[in-house]
Amino acid sequence: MRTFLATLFIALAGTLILWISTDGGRAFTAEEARRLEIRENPRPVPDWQLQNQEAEPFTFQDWHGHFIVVDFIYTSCPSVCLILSSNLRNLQKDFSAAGKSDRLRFLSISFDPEKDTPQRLKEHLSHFSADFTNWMALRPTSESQKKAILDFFKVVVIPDEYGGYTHSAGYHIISPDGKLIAIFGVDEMDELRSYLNQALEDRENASDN
Amino acid sequence: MHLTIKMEWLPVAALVILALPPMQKFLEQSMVTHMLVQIPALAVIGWFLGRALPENWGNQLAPWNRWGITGMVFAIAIMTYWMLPRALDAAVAEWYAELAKFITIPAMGIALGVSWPQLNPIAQGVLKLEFWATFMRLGWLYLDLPDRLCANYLLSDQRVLGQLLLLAGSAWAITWTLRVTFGTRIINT
Amino acid sequence: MSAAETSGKIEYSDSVNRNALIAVKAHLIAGLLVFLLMMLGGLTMRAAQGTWLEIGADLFYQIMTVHGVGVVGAAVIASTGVQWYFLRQYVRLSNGIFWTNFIIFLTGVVMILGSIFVGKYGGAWTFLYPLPAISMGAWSNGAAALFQLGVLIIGVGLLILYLDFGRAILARYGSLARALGLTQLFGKEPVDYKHPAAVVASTMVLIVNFLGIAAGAVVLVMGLINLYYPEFKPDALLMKNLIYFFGHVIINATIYASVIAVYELLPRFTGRPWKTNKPFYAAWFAIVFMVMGVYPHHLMMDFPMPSWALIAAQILSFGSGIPVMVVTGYGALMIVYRSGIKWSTTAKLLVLSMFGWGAGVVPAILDAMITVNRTFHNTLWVPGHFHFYLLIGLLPMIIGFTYYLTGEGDSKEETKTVDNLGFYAYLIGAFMTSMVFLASGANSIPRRWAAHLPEWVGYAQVGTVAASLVVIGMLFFIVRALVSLPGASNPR
Repeated sequence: MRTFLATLFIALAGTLILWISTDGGRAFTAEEARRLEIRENPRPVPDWQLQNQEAEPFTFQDWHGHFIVVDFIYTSCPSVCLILSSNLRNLQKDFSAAGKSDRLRFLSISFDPEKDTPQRLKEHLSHFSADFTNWMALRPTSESQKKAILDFFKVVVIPDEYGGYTHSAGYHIISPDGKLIAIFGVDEMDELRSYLNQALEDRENASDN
Repeated sequence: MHLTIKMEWLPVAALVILALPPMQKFLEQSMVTHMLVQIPALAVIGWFLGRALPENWGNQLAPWNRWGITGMVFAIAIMTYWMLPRALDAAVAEWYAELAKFITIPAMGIALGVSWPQLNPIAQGVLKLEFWATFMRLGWLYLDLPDRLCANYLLSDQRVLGQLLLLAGSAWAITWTLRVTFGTRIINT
Repeated sequence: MSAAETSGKIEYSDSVNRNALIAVKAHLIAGLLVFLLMMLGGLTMRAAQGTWLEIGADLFYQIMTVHGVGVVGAAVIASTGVQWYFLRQYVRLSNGIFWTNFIIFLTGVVMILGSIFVGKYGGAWTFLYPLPAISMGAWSNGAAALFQLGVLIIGVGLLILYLDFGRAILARYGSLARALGLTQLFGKEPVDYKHPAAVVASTMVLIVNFLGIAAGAVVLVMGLINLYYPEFKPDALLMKNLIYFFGHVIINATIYASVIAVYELLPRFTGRPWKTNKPFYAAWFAIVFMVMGVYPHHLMMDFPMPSWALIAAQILSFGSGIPVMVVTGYGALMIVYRSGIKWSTTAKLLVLSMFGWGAGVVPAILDAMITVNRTFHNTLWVPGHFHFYLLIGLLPMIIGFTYYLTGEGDSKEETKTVDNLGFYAYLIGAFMTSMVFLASGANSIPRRWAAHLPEWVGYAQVGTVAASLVVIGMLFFIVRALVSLPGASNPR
């Protein structure tokens, strides 16, 4: 009997712990967990000191009032950053064709500030024939700023075996009032598109009223 | 007498060595060593710690752990938790998750060491097959998944781990088959 | 170890024996009732194909799914009852484990029935990846998952039972090789003519089913992961290999488990002992590998399969009929020939099963020929082949054993008219059912089609008549089992 009770207790407690630590069976990986967390609790973005491709200082405050899509890159990246940024380019083209370009801004933040000088950031953007007014490439101005940014977005960067990096890839959406509200994966372009359309439309309706 | 005391401190010493920051860092920089060296080592340490515990502890626990069932459920719950990819990531990133790992996995080892021998041979067989199948399932999963499960580990790491798990599972299956087919009594009744 | 020690019978207390007999009867009755229901399902499908009955395609596929999984389940649970009844006389088996398996089995059955008739799962019993995940709205992911969980649970129950078999066999014989008679076959021990055939057959069934369940445990969980995590796309060919290894081994082993009844009962009725000998051991040793090696005949139309596997499968399929069949069929004939056996329904059924098993090899081997298989495998030829085996080979063994338990086999009375009626209705119906399937296959009528073209309807109608006869015969058997079995004491 005591064995039965103890077993029952441990089984229930174990199930409960597993349930809680997977957010109710919804997030098994750290990547899923960070996306879910942001969806449920949007967080205000702090004002970091960044530098853009023209070597000018930039803070998120400068683009207050716009939806911003952020991706993380390093310019010598041979693989996933290229996909990330070329998807961004397609997105920018589509939205400017629809006449919504000024409401949607793009940021590519480098986590390799030593190598990624403003010059290289500029080259990176021109590879994708970006519209510079609405799309900037940035680098953190110090190591501590870089760490703060990566920690805030919960982006993990690890060196790979070819001297480059492997990192959490995704699109981070920042709302006009400066909050991180959603994260989408590289393979979720359709979801990202419809999310942005919906968000822009809601905002338009809100400003009409 | 002198020697036995030494033997009992051996697992504690091993635990301390594994907990040293450079050792931690070394074993956790790859998914393979993290999952196939560090965690099993912690469990084995727990197993031996359980052996070294004073006997009256075991006697007091016994009525709560008849046939070793409670201990096995406890061990399986901990095992399942540390199979979550985000648990592994948390252990690398956060000190409190790492601490939890260094406590719960030796605890799991203790529970296994105390409970497994008491377990009914049939239940042992079912669990053994289930563990084996988990090796094969995870190995297959790691090999075939297009994405990384852990933010802190490379895809190539995940693939190597998958291959090793499949290899270990196959080796286990072959030895088991050979022993049952040609071996002498391995299960006593 | 002396000869007496390896073949002596195990003594149990009376209360354990009584409980064991009840358990065996529960297995048989459950199995036979499920068989009857599945035959009704089969009759419904044939009538629908014959345009005598109108049912929707979705219901047809649900019936087809339940028919497949139900027959496999009934075959497994009933043949396990036969096997356990005899095996426990030679090694010490646990009643508790036997009941545990039964209860787990029933739990799995409830889950599977729920998934099919509540969840509308209709993706065939083989749950072939990726079909369960792409129902196009016919059933939910949850229904497909429940079905696979049900199968998984039944597998776990069987695993528990086989571990008990393994434990008991190892406790008595030390190693599986010794239990299979390999030490005698290879001359390390003198040949013991009294080494029980039930132990040899059970060891073989234990080995293949253990491995089958292991494969099933992996593949079922991979399928479940795919249901909930579609980014994970396992190799479809590997999945198919594992699924058919699991499925083929499980259903094939039922006949090897049930044949123990023939080994044990025919000598009883003729007064001549069944002697085990070297050819017998060699045959059963070979069959261990053959049962596991023939499954690729389900994959001969998958062109990426390596050709060596297919060729090996063809050779093994050709061979697989021979060893046990020749040894068992010849042995049975030698035992019956001029023995003055009394032709009770029990004896008739057991001898019929020998015919069904022997003759069933012919359509099986034809299907296993690569060139034939590529045109035949998706026709009704294949249902013809396995209905032949199951209706005329396996079921007569199980029903014959049930009759024996009712005491019919040892009875001095004349065979009752009711039993005769049942036997001949069943015999004719079963033979016709299989032959109509085979003829349909030979005329290129596809299998797994809910609606048949006008030119095929005639076949389906004859098939419907045949299936009705099977159901009538089965009803006689079932009534007999339900009336006489519960009160029957253990035949001495």
